[in-house]
Amino acid sequence: MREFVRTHIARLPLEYRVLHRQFLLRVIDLEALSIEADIPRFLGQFAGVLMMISLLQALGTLMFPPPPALYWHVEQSAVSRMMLVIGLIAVLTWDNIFPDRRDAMILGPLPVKPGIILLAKISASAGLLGIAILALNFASSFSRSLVFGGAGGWLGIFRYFVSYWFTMVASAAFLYGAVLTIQGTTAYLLPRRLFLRVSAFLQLAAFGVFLVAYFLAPSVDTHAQLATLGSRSPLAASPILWFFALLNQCNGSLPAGALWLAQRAWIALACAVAGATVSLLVC
Amino acid sequence: MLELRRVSKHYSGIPAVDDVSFAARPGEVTGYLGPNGSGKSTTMKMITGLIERTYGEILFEGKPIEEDLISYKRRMGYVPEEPYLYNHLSGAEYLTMVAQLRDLPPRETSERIDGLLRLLSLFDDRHASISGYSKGMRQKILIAAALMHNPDLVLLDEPFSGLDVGSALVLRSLIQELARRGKVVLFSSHELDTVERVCSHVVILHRARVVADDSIAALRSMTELPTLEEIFSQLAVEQDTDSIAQHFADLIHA
Repeated sequence: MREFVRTHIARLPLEYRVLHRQFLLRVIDLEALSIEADIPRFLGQFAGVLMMISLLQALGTLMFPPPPALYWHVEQSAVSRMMLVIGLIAVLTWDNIFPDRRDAMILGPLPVKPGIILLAKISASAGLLGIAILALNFASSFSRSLVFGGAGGWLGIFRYFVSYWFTMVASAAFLYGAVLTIQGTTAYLLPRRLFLRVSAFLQLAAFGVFLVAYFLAPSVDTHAQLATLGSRSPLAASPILWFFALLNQCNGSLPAGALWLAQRAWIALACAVAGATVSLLVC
Repeated sequence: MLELRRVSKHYSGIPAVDDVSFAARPGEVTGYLGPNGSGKSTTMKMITGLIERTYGEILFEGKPIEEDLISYKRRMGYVPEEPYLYNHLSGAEYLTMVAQLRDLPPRETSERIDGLLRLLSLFDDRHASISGYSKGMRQKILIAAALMHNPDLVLLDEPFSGLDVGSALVLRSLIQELARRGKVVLFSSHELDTVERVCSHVVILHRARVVADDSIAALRSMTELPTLEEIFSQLAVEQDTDSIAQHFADLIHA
Protein backbone atom coordinates (compact mmCIF):
# COMPACT_ATOMS: atom_id res chain seq x y z
CA MET A 1 0.00 0.00 0.00
CA ARG A 2 2.79 2.39 1.04
CA GLU A 3 4.65 1.54 -2.17
CA PHE A 4 1.48 2.18 -4.19
CA VAL A 5 1.03 5.62 -2.60
CA ARG A 6 4.74 6.42 -3.00
CA THR A 7 4.66 5.49 -6.69
CA HIS A 8 1.63 7.67 -7.33
CA ILE A 9 3.03 10.61 -5.38
CA ALA A 10 6.26 10.31 -7.37
CA ARG A 11 4.27 10.90 -10.55
CA LEU A 12 3.33 14.42 -9.41
CA PRO A 13 5.58 17.21 -10.74
CA LEU A 14 8.73 17.66 -8.59
CA GLU A 15 8.10 21.41 -8.18
CA TYR A 16 4.62 20.69 -6.82
CA ARG A 17 5.89 18.11 -4.31
CA VAL A 18 8.67 20.40 -3.05
CA LEU A 19 6.42 23.43 -2.70
CA HIS A 20 3.54 21.49 -1.17
CA ARG A 21 5.87 20.23 1.56
CA GLN A 22 7.24 23.72 2.20
CA PHE A 23 3.80 25.31 2.35
CA LEU A 24 2.35 22.56 4.54
CA LEU A 25 5.22 22.98 7.01
CA ARG A 26 4.57 26.69 7.36
CA VAL A 27 0.84 26.76 6.81
CA ILE A 28 0.40 27.75 10.45
CA ASP A 29 1.07 31.43 11.12
CA LEU A 30 4.56 31.30 12.70
CA GLU A 31 3.89 34.63 14.41
CA ALA A 32 1.16 32.89 16.40
CA LEU A 33 3.67 30.35 17.72
CA SER A 34 7.05 30.67 19.39
CA ILE A 35 10.10 31.38 17.21
CA GLU A 36 11.44 27.88 17.98
CA ALA A 37 8.14 26.23 17.04
CA ASP A 38 8.58 22.75 15.58
CA ILE A 39 5.82 22.77 12.97
CA PRO A 40 5.75 19.02 12.11
CA ARG A 41 5.51 18.19 15.82
CA PHE A 42 2.84 20.87 16.25
CA LEU A 43 0.80 19.34 13.40
CA GLY A 44 1.16 15.90 14.99
CA GLN A 45 0.05 17.15 18.40
CA PHE A 46 -2.83 19.05 16.83
CA ALA A 47 -4.04 15.91 15.04
CA GLY A 48 -3.51 13.87 18.22
CA VAL A 49 -5.73 16.16 20.30
CA LEU A 50 -8.52 16.01 17.70
CA MET A 51 -8.23 12.22 17.48
CA MET A 52 -8.51 11.96 21.23
CA ILE A 53 -11.67 14.09 21.16
CA SER A 54 -13.08 11.88 18.41
CA LEU A 55 -12.26 8.69 20.33
CA LEU A 56 -13.86 9.99 23.54
CA GLN A 57 -16.99 11.00 21.63
CA ALA A 58 -17.15 7.62 19.94
CA LEU A 59 -16.79 5.76 23.24
CA GLY A 60 -19.39 8.02 24.86
CA THR A 61 -21.88 7.41 22.03
CA LEU A 62 -21.37 3.63 22.09
CA MET A 63 -21.37 3.19 25.88
CA PHE A 64 -24.08 5.73 26.68
CA PRO A 65 -26.19 6.09 23.51
CA PRO A 66 -28.25 9.30 23.68
CA PRO A 67 -32.04 8.98 23.58
CA PRO A 68 -33.59 9.73 20.15
CA ALA A 69 -34.86 13.07 21.53
CA LEU A 70 -31.24 14.21 21.81
CA TYR A 71 -30.08 13.05 18.35
CA TRP A 72 -30.54 16.48 16.79
CA HIS A 73 -28.71 18.15 19.64
CA VAL A 74 -25.74 15.80 19.22
CA GLU A 75 -25.70 16.32 15.44
CA GLN A 76 -25.72 20.10 15.82
CA SER A 77 -22.89 19.85 18.33
CA ALA A 78 -20.89 17.79 15.84
CA VAL A 79 -21.41 20.33 13.05
CA SER A 80 -20.69 23.22 15.36
CA ARG A 81 -17.48 21.56 16.70
CA MET A 82 -16.30 20.86 13.16
CA MET A 83 -16.90 24.49 12.19
CA LEU A 84 -15.12 25.76 15.31
CA VAL A 85 -12.02 23.69 14.53
CA ILE A 86 -11.99 24.85 10.90
CA GLY A 87 -12.57 28.43 12.07
CA LEU A 88 -9.61 28.25 14.44
CA ILE A 89 -7.45 26.79 11.66
CA ALA A 90 -8.53 29.67 9.43
CA VAL A 91 -7.44 32.13 12.13
CA LEU A 92 -4.08 30.37 12.66
CA THR A 93 -3.33 30.13 8.94
CA TRP A 94 -4.71 33.61 8.19
CA ASP A 95 -1.57 35.09 6.65
CA ASN A 96 -0.42 31.94 4.90
CA ILE A 97 -3.49 31.19 2.80
CA PHE A 98 -2.45 33.24 -0.24
CA PRO A 99 1.05 33.36 -1.73
CA ASP A 100 2.58 36.43 -0.06
CA ARG A 101 5.36 38.88 -0.92
CA ARG A 102 8.02 36.55 0.46
CA ASP A 103 6.79 33.67 -1.72
CA ALA A 104 6.79 36.00 -4.74
CA MET A 105 10.33 37.23 -4.06
CA ILE A 106 11.76 33.75 -3.39
CA LEU A 107 9.88 31.72 -5.98
CA GLY A 108 9.36 34.43 -8.62
CA PRO A 109 12.89 34.22 -10.11
CA LEU A 110 12.84 30.40 -10.07
CA PRO A 111 11.63 28.37 -13.06
CA VAL A 112 8.31 27.41 -11.47
CA LYS A 113 4.93 28.06 -13.08
CA PRO A 114 2.68 30.34 -10.99
CA GLY A 115 -0.09 27.73 -11.30
CA ILE A 116 2.08 25.13 -9.53
CA ILE A 117 2.82 27.58 -6.69
CA LEU A 118 -0.87 28.34 -6.25
CA LEU A 119 -1.84 24.67 -6.44
CA ALA A 120 0.79 23.73 -3.86
CA LYS A 121 -0.40 26.53 -1.58
CA ILE A 122 -4.06 25.51 -1.85
CA SER A 123 -3.33 21.83 -1.37
CA ALA A 124 -1.19 22.63 1.71
CA SER A 125 -4.20 24.39 3.26
CA ALA A 126 -6.47 21.59 2.08
CA GLY A 127 -4.03 19.09 3.61
CA LEU A 128 -4.29 20.74 7.01
CA LEU A 129 -8.09 20.89 6.73
CA GLY A 130 -8.08 17.22 5.70
CA ILE A 131 -5.99 16.28 8.74
CA ALA A 132 -8.42 18.17 11.00
CA ILE A 133 -11.56 16.69 9.43
CA LEU A 134 -10.22 13.13 9.49
CA ALA A 135 -8.81 13.38 13.01
CA LEU A 136 -11.94 14.91 14.50
CA ASN A 137 -14.37 12.46 12.88
CA PHE A 138 -12.49 9.23 12.27
CA ALA A 139 -13.99 7.40 15.29
CA SER A 140 -17.12 9.43 15.99
CA SER A 141 -18.39 8.96 12.42
CA PHE A 142 -18.51 5.17 12.95
CA SER A 143 -20.15 5.30 16.36
CA ARG A 144 -22.76 7.87 15.33
CA SER A 145 -23.58 5.97 12.15
CA LEU A 146 -24.10 2.79 14.21
CA VAL A 147 -26.29 4.48 16.81
CA PHE A 148 -28.15 7.15 14.78
CA GLY A 149 -28.45 5.21 11.50
CA GLY A 150 -28.90 1.77 13.10
CA ALA A 151 -32.70 1.85 12.78
CA GLY A 152 -32.41 1.57 9.01
CA GLY A 153 -30.24 -1.56 9.09
CA TRP A 154 -26.88 -1.77 7.33
CA LEU A 155 -28.11 0.45 4.51
CA GLY A 156 -29.22 3.07 7.05
CA ILE A 157 -25.85 2.90 8.78
CA PHE A 158 -24.03 3.29 5.46
CA ARG A 159 -26.27 6.18 4.37
CA TYR A 160 -25.74 7.97 7.67
CA PHE A 161 -21.98 7.42 7.45
CA VAL A 162 -21.77 8.93 3.95
CA SER A 163 -24.12 11.82 4.88
CA TYR A 164 -22.10 12.53 7.99
CA TRP A 165 -18.77 12.71 6.14
CA PHE A 166 -20.24 14.73 3.31
CA THR A 167 -21.71 17.25 5.76
CA MET A 168 -18.47 17.59 7.70
CA VAL A 169 -16.45 18.16 4.53
CA ALA A 170 -19.08 20.55 3.15
CA SER A 171 -19.27 22.60 6.38
CA ALA A 172 -15.46 22.83 6.48
CA ALA A 173 -15.31 23.83 2.81
CA PHE A 174 -17.99 26.45 3.39
CA LEU A 175 -16.27 28.06 6.35
CA TYR A 176 -12.78 28.03 4.89
CA GLY A 177 -14.12 29.17 1.53
CA ALA A 178 -15.99 32.03 3.21
CA VAL A 179 -12.80 33.16 4.98
CA LEU A 180 -10.87 32.99 1.68
CA THR A 181 -13.59 34.99 -0.07
CA ILE A 182 -13.58 37.70 2.59
CA GLN A 183 -9.79 37.92 2.54
CA GLY A 184 -9.61 37.88 -1.24
CA THR A 185 -12.28 40.55 -1.65
CA THR A 186 -10.63 42.78 0.94
CA ALA A 187 -7.20 42.29 -0.66
CA TYR A 188 -8.61 43.09 -4.09
CA LEU A 189 -10.55 46.18 -3.06
CA LEU A 190 -8.17 47.83 -0.59
CA PRO A 191 -4.68 49.25 -1.06
CA ARG A 192 -2.00 46.90 0.34
CA ARG A 193 -1.23 48.90 3.50
CA LEU A 194 -4.88 49.35 4.41
CA PHE A 195 -5.53 45.69 3.66
CA LEU A 196 -2.82 44.63 6.14
CA ARG A 197 -4.46 46.69 8.88
CA VAL A 198 -7.98 45.55 8.05
CA SER A 199 -6.79 41.95 7.70
CA ALA A 200 -5.41 41.93 11.26
CA PHE A 201 -8.72 43.29 12.53
CA LEU A 202 -10.68 40.73 10.50
CA GLN A 203 -8.52 37.93 11.90
CA LEU A 204 -9.32 39.01 15.44
CA ALA A 205 -13.01 39.50 14.61
CA ALA A 206 -13.21 36.06 12.99
CA PHE A 207 -11.68 34.49 16.11
CA GLY A 208 -14.36 36.18 18.25
CA VAL A 209 -17.22 35.23 15.92
CA PHE A 210 -16.20 31.55 15.80
CA LEU A 211 -15.97 31.31 19.60
CA VAL A 212 -19.25 33.16 20.17
CA ALA A 213 -21.06 31.03 17.58
CA TYR A 214 -19.77 27.84 19.17
CA PHE A 215 -20.52 28.68 22.78
CA LEU A 216 -23.65 30.83 22.49
CA ALA A 217 -25.57 29.57 19.44
CA PRO A 218 -28.81 27.88 20.61
CA SER A 219 -29.82 24.56 19.06
CA VAL A 220 -33.09 23.35 17.55
CA ASP A 221 -33.82 20.02 19.19
CA THR A 222 -37.40 19.12 18.20
CA HIS A 223 -39.60 18.94 15.12
CA ALA A 224 -41.93 21.49 16.76
CA GLN A 225 -39.09 24.01 17.16
CA LEU A 226 -38.06 23.50 13.57
CA ALA A 227 -41.62 23.84 12.29
CA THR A 228 -42.07 27.21 14.01
CA LEU A 229 -38.71 28.50 12.86
CA GLY A 230 -39.31 31.27 10.34
CA SER A 231 -36.84 32.06 7.58
CA ARG A 232 -36.38 35.50 9.16
CA SER A 233 -35.60 34.15 12.60
CA PRO A 234 -32.07 35.02 13.78
CA LEU A 235 -31.52 31.31 14.40
CA ALA A 236 -32.17 30.60 10.72
CA ALA A 237 -29.14 32.74 9.88
CA SER A 238 -26.83 30.26 11.60
CA PRO A 239 -24.68 28.18 9.20
CA ILE A 240 -24.53 25.51 11.92
CA LEU A 241 -28.27 25.00 11.48
CA TRP A 242 -28.00 25.01 7.67
CA PHE A 243 -25.44 22.20 7.67
CA PHE A 244 -27.33 20.31 10.35
CA ALA A 245 -30.30 20.45 7.95
CA LEU A 246 -28.03 19.31 5.12
CA LEU A 247 -26.96 16.27 7.18
CA ASN A 248 -30.59 15.35 7.77
CA GLN A 249 -31.50 15.98 4.15
CA CYS A 250 -28.77 13.61 3.04
CA ASN A 251 -29.75 10.89 5.52
CA GLY A 252 -33.44 11.32 4.74
CA SER A 253 -34.68 12.51 8.13
CA LEU A 254 -35.29 16.21 7.40
CA PRO A 255 -38.97 17.26 7.65
CA ALA A 256 -40.27 18.64 4.32
CA GLY A 257 -41.01 22.00 5.98
CA ALA A 258 -37.32 22.53 6.76
CA LEU A 259 -35.95 21.90 3.28
CA TRP A 260 -35.29 25.61 2.86
CA LEU A 261 -32.65 25.38 5.61
CA ALA A 262 -30.76 22.69 3.69
CA GLN A 263 -31.11 24.76 0.52
CA ARG A 264 -29.35 27.58 2.36
CA ALA A 265 -26.46 25.22 3.06
CA TRP A 266 -26.19 24.28 -0.63
CA ILE A 267 -26.31 27.94 -1.72
CA ALA A 268 -23.80 28.98 0.95
CA LEU A 269 -21.45 26.15 -0.06
CA ALA A 270 -21.67 27.08 -3.75
CA CYS A 271 -21.09 30.79 -3.00
CA ALA A 272 -18.13 30.09 -0.69
CA VAL A 273 -16.44 27.70 -3.13
CA ALA A 274 -17.01 30.08 -6.07
CA GLY A 275 -15.84 33.09 -4.02
CA ALA A 276 -12.72 31.25 -2.85
CA THR A 277 -11.88 30.12 -6.38
CA VAL A 278 -12.23 33.66 -7.75
CA SER A 279 -10.20 35.08 -4.83
CA LEU A 280 -7.37 32.63 -5.41
CA LEU A 281 -7.32 33.35 -9.13
CA VAL A 282 -7.45 37.12 -8.68
CA CYS A 283 -4.96 37.37 -5.79
CA MET B 1 23.41 39.18 -24.53
CA LEU B 2 20.80 40.89 -22.39
CA GLU B 3 19.14 43.82 -24.06
CA LEU B 4 16.62 46.34 -22.76
CA ARG B 5 14.77 48.39 -25.37
CA ARG B 6 12.90 51.50 -24.23
CA VAL B 7 11.75 49.83 -21.02
CA SER B 8 9.46 51.83 -18.72
CA LYS B 9 7.60 51.09 -15.54
CA HIS B 10 4.92 53.46 -14.29
CA TYR B 11 3.19 53.38 -10.92
CA SER B 12 -0.09 55.34 -10.95
CA GLY B 13 1.22 57.23 -13.97
CA ILE B 14 4.51 58.14 -12.26
CA PRO B 15 7.57 56.67 -14.00
CA ALA B 16 9.83 54.55 -11.77
CA VAL B 17 11.84 53.57 -14.85
CA ASP B 18 11.56 55.72 -17.95
CA ASP B 19 12.59 54.70 -21.46
CA VAL B 20 15.64 52.72 -20.37
CA SER B 21 17.72 51.03 -23.08
CA PHE B 22 21.09 49.31 -22.72
CA ALA B 23 22.82 46.02 -23.43
CA ALA B 24 24.87 43.75 -21.17
CA ARG B 25 27.25 41.50 -23.10
CA PRO B 26 28.71 38.11 -22.24
CA GLY B 27 32.23 38.22 -20.89
CA GLU B 28 31.87 41.64 -19.30
CA VAL B 29 30.48 42.96 -16.03
CA THR B 30 27.95 45.73 -16.56
CA GLY B 31 27.55 48.09 -13.63
CA TYR B 32 24.09 49.52 -13.07
CA LEU B 33 24.32 52.64 -10.94
CA GLY B 34 22.04 55.34 -9.68
CA PRO B 35 21.00 57.21 -6.54
CA ASN B 36 18.30 55.81 -4.22
CA GLY B 37 14.94 55.72 -5.97
CA SER B 38 16.41 56.06 -9.44
CA GLY B 39 14.85 52.76 -10.58
CA LYS B 40 17.73 50.26 -10.35
CA SER B 41 15.91 47.59 -8.36
CA THR B 42 12.74 48.09 -10.38
CA THR B 43 14.72 47.42 -13.56
CA MET B 44 16.28 44.33 -11.98
CA LYS B 45 12.85 43.02 -11.00
CA MET B 46 11.57 43.57 -14.54
CA ILE B 47 14.56 41.66 -15.93
CA THR B 48 13.87 38.75 -13.57
CA GLY B 49 10.19 38.75 -14.53
CA LEU B 50 9.12 39.59 -10.96
CA ILE B 51 7.22 42.67 -12.11
CA GLU B 52 5.71 43.50 -15.46
CA ARG B 53 6.91 46.49 -17.41
CA THR B 54 4.58 49.18 -18.69
CA TYR B 55 6.37 49.63 -22.02
CA GLY B 56 9.39 48.28 -23.86
CA GLU B 57 11.08 44.97 -24.51
CA ILE B 58 13.61 42.83 -22.66
CA LEU B 59 15.53 40.35 -24.79
CA PHE B 60 17.95 37.61 -23.81
CA GLU B 61 20.01 36.19 -26.66
CA GLY B 62 17.75 38.01 -29.09
CA LYS B 63 14.45 36.58 -27.81
CA PRO B 64 11.85 38.41 -25.69
CA ILE B 65 12.08 36.89 -22.20
CA GLU B 66 8.35 36.28 -21.95
CA GLU B 67 8.47 34.03 -25.04
CA ASP B 68 9.59 31.17 -22.75
CA LEU B 69 9.87 32.62 -19.27
CA ILE B 70 10.50 29.28 -17.55
CA SER B 71 13.47 28.41 -19.81
CA TYR B 72 14.78 31.95 -19.37
CA LYS B 73 14.58 31.63 -15.57
CA ARG B 74 16.46 28.33 -15.72
CA ARG B 75 19.41 30.25 -17.19
CA MET B 76 19.20 33.20 -14.80
CA GLY B 77 20.59 33.68 -11.31
CA TYR B 78 19.39 36.62 -9.21
CA VAL B 79 20.64 38.02 -5.93
CA PRO B 80 17.88 40.37 -4.74
CA GLU B 81 18.40 43.57 -2.81
CA GLU B 82 16.08 42.41 0.00
CA PRO B 83 17.11 39.14 1.69
CA TYR B 84 13.85 37.18 1.44
CA LEU B 85 14.36 33.59 2.63
CA TYR B 86 12.24 30.89 4.28
CA ASN B 87 13.31 31.35 7.89
CA HIS B 88 11.96 28.00 9.08
CA LEU B 89 14.52 26.17 6.91
CA SER B 90 18.23 25.67 7.54
CA GLY B 91 20.75 27.02 5.04
CA ALA B 92 21.33 23.55 3.55
CA GLU B 93 17.57 22.85 3.35
CA TYR B 94 16.94 26.16 1.59
CA LEU B 95 19.62 25.48 -1.01
CA THR B 96 18.29 21.94 -1.49
CA MET B 97 14.80 23.33 -2.05
CA VAL B 98 16.09 25.81 -4.64
CA ALA B 99 18.10 23.04 -6.35
CA GLN B 100 15.03 20.79 -6.48
CA LEU B 101 12.92 23.59 -7.94
CA ARG B 102 15.64 24.12 -10.53
CA ASP B 103 15.50 20.39 -11.25
CA LEU B 104 19.21 19.80 -10.59
CA PRO B 105 20.33 16.14 -10.22
CA PRO B 106 20.21 15.21 -6.49
CA ARG B 107 23.66 13.62 -6.07
CA GLU B 108 25.51 16.39 -7.88
CA THR B 109 23.45 18.99 -6.01
CA SER B 110 24.32 17.65 -2.60
CA GLU B 111 28.06 17.79 -3.39
CA ARG B 112 27.71 21.26 -4.88
CA ILE B 113 25.77 22.58 -1.88
CA ASP B 114 28.36 21.20 0.55
CA GLY B 115 31.13 22.74 -1.54
CA LEU B 116 29.45 26.13 -1.73
CA LEU B 117 28.70 26.17 2.00
CA ARG B 118 32.35 25.35 2.77
CA LEU B 119 33.63 28.08 0.43
CA LEU B 120 31.26 30.60 2.00
CA SER B 121 32.24 29.55 5.57
CA LEU B 122 28.70 28.41 6.29
CA PHE B 123 29.31 24.66 6.47
CA ASP B 124 29.32 24.52 10.28
CA ASP B 125 26.00 26.40 10.40
CA ARG B 126 24.37 24.48 7.55
CA HIS B 127 21.83 22.78 9.81
CA ALA B 128 20.98 25.90 11.84
CA SER B 129 17.71 27.69 11.12
CA ILE B 130 18.02 30.71 8.81
CA SER B 131 16.07 32.71 11.41
CA GLY B 132 19.28 32.68 13.50
CA TYR B 133 21.57 33.76 10.65
CA SER B 134 23.25 37.16 10.55
CA LYS B 135 22.65 39.52 7.62
CA GLY B 136 25.94 38.49 6.03
CA MET B 137 25.13 34.77 6.35
CA ARG B 138 21.75 35.34 4.72
CA GLN B 139 23.43 37.21 1.90
CA LYS B 140 25.81 34.30 1.34
CA ILE B 141 22.86 31.91 1.11
CA LEU B 142 21.23 34.19 -1.49
CA ILE B 143 24.47 34.27 -3.49
CA ALA B 144 24.86 30.47 -3.35
CA ALA B 145 21.19 29.99 -4.35
CA ALA B 146 21.60 32.36 -7.31
CA LEU B 147 24.76 30.74 -8.66
CA MET B 148 24.52 27.03 -7.81
CA HIS B 149 22.92 26.11 -11.18
CA ASN B 150 25.70 27.79 -13.22
CA PRO B 151 23.48 30.47 -14.81
CA ASP B 152 24.32 32.21 -18.08
CA LEU B 153 22.79 35.48 -16.87
CA VAL B 154 23.80 36.74 -13.42
CA LEU B 155 21.81 39.62 -11.89
CA LEU B 156 23.29 41.07 -8.71
CA ASP B 157 21.35 43.75 -6.86
CA GLU B 158 23.50 45.14 -4.03
CA PRO B 159 25.24 41.77 -3.55
CA PHE B 160 27.80 43.12 -1.04
CA SER B 161 25.15 44.12 1.48
CA GLY B 162 26.10 42.79 4.94
CA LEU B 163 29.22 40.91 3.78
CA ASP B 164 32.43 41.13 5.79
CA VAL B 165 35.64 42.31 4.10
CA GLY B 166 36.93 38.82 3.35
CA SER B 167 33.66 37.63 1.81
CA ALA B 168 33.32 40.87 -0.16
CA LEU B 169 36.77 40.34 -1.67
CA VAL B 170 35.86 36.75 -2.60
CA LEU B 171 32.63 37.94 -4.22
CA ARG B 172 34.45 40.65 -6.13
CA SER B 173 36.84 38.10 -7.61
CA LEU B 174 33.96 35.71 -8.26
CA ILE B 175 32.07 38.33 -10.29
CA GLN B 176 35.13 38.89 -12.46
CA GLU B 177 35.69 35.15 -12.83
CA LEU B 178 32.09 34.60 -13.93
CA ALA B 179 32.46 37.27 -16.61
CA ARG B 180 35.75 35.70 -17.75
CA ARG B 181 33.88 32.43 -18.19
CA GLY B 182 31.46 34.08 -20.62
CA LYS B 183 28.49 34.90 -18.37
CA VAL B 184 26.39 38.03 -18.78
CA VAL B 185 26.75 39.86 -15.45
CA LEU B 186 24.61 42.84 -14.50
CA PHE B 187 25.70 44.32 -11.22
CA SER B 188 23.97 47.06 -9.26
CA SER B 189 25.75 48.63 -6.32
CA HIS B 190 26.36 51.86 -4.44
CA GLU B 191 29.98 50.89 -3.80
CA LEU B 192 31.59 52.87 -6.59
CA ASP B 193 35.13 51.73 -5.76
CA THR B 194 34.09 48.13 -6.27
CA VAL B 195 32.16 48.96 -9.43
CA GLU B 196 35.19 50.76 -10.80
CA ARG B 197 37.42 47.74 -10.13
CA VAL B 198 34.98 45.08 -11.32
CA CYS B 199 32.97 46.58 -14.19
CA SER B 200 34.12 47.24 -17.69
CA HIS B 201 30.92 49.00 -18.68
CA VAL B 202 28.51 51.11 -16.64
CA VAL B 203 24.97 52.37 -17.06
CA ILE B 204 24.08 55.33 -14.83
CA LEU B 205 20.46 56.11 -14.01
CA HIS B 206 19.18 59.44 -12.78
CA ARG B 207 15.52 60.20 -12.13
CA ALA B 208 14.51 56.93 -13.78
CA ARG B 209 16.36 57.67 -17.05
CA VAL B 210 19.73 56.56 -18.39
CA VAL B 211 22.23 59.44 -18.28
CA ALA B 212 25.35 57.45 -19.20
CA ASP B 213 25.97 54.13 -20.93
CA ASP B 214 29.58 53.47 -21.83
CA SER B 215 32.86 51.92 -20.70
CA ILE B 216 34.44 53.51 -17.63
CA ALA B 217 37.48 54.52 -19.70
CA ALA B 218 35.28 56.27 -22.27
CA LEU B 219 33.35 58.08 -19.53
CA ARG B 220 36.62 59.20 -17.94
CA SER B 221 37.92 60.68 -21.15
CA MET B 222 34.55 62.19 -22.06
CA THR B 223 34.03 63.93 -18.71
CA GLU B 224 37.72 64.53 -18.06
CA LEU B 225 37.20 63.28 -14.52
CA PRO B 226 39.63 60.77 -12.96
CA THR B 227 37.30 58.51 -10.92
CA LEU B 228 33.92 56.89 -11.29
CA GLU B 229 32.85 58.57 -8.04
CA GLU B 230 33.42 62.00 -9.54
CA ILE B 231 31.73 61.04 -12.79
CA PHE B 232 28.75 59.71 -10.84
CA SER B 233 28.60 62.87 -8.69
CA GLN B 234 28.53 65.05 -11.76
CA LEU B 235 25.89 63.03 -13.59
CA ALA B 236 23.56 61.82 -10.86
CA VAL B 237 24.06 63.83 -7.66
CA GLU B 238 22.33 67.19 -7.62
CA GLN B 239 23.05 68.21 -4.05
CA ASP B 240 26.12 69.96 -2.71
CA THR B 241 27.25 67.07 -0.51
CA ASP B 242 29.82 69.06 1.50
CA SER B 243 27.28 71.72 2.37
CA ILE B 244 24.68 69.11 3.43
CA ALA B 245 27.26 67.41 5.67
CA GLN B 246 28.17 70.78 7.24
CA HIS B 247 24.52 71.66 7.88
CA PHE B 248 23.91 68.22 9.38
CA ALA B 249 26.82 68.59 11.80
CA ASP B 250 25.62 72.13 12.71
CA LEU B 251 22.12 70.85 13.35
CA ILE B 252 23.24 68.24 15.86
CA HIS B 253 25.80 70.68 17.37
CA ALA B 254 28.65 68.26 16.65
